[in-house]
Amino acid sequence: MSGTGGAAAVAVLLIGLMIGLTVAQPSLDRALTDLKDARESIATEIVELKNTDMELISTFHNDTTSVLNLTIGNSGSSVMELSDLDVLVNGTYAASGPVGYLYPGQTLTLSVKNVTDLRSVKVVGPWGISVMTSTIGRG
Amino acid sequence: MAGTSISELIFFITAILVSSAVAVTLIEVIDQYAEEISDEASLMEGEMRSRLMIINDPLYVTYDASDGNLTFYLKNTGTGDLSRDDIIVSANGTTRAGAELWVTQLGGGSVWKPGDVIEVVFRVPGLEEGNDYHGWASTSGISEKGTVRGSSQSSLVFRIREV
Repeated sequence: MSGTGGAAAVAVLLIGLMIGLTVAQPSLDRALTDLKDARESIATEIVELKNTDMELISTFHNDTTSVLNLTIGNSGSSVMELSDLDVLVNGTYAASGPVGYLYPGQTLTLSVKNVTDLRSVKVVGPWGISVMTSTIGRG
Repeated sequence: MAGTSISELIFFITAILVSSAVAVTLIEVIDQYAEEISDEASLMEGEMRSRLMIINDPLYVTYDASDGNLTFYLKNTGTGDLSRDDIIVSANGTTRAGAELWVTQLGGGSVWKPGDVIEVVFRVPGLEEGNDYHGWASTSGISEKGTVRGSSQSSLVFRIREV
């Protein structure tokens, strides 16, 4: 009977191991899926970031109307979401982009009103990429 | 003979009890280990999704000299939501958080989504134009389930512009 006891004990242990692995399987599966998603998302973001670029084509300030006109170009190869654009004038947040998209090669003109004592313009885009200038056309 | 049977029966029952206890412990250990791996994966995903950037013009960071209020603009440049409650900012060695900050989400909304910019005004006395200062900001990421996951930090060397 001691042989039977040993065999039964081994069986119970094996069943326990199987139950343990079965219980753990969904958690492990979820963890692996989370990691896989995160890695895929990072890889996609790196490619997107490399394909994203913009330029500040012209900056013109009308001294009479105090309106600043900015022409921003998408010089990358991916589509930019306009709402991702933020404009800082003299270090102060001045405007965000409208709703829509800026396709590669296209330009966008943004107007900022009530700009006085203009010193610098910074435009921040997707992923935090930015362009700035302190060379401003006046008229 | 009867004594032998009883002792074997006791041995059998003991073996079953001990192995059952070991099996239950095994189940708990494996389950706990799996949960920890899952938490780590979730945390790592949160770290990867959470990114914050101070987008101020470094040469002209707005500073109100009358009350010592400095303004940072923080942009969510990641792919997940960020926490507005966990924002910590620092400039010239002065660190502020919680009720010491005036936080405004530019463009409205109550959730700090990817692409959104937050204006953070905090008190840093004694800054002067022309001097170089070091500042940083940090916050936590928010998972899709609404729990805090991961964190992000951004730093900036800057000069102020008095307004």
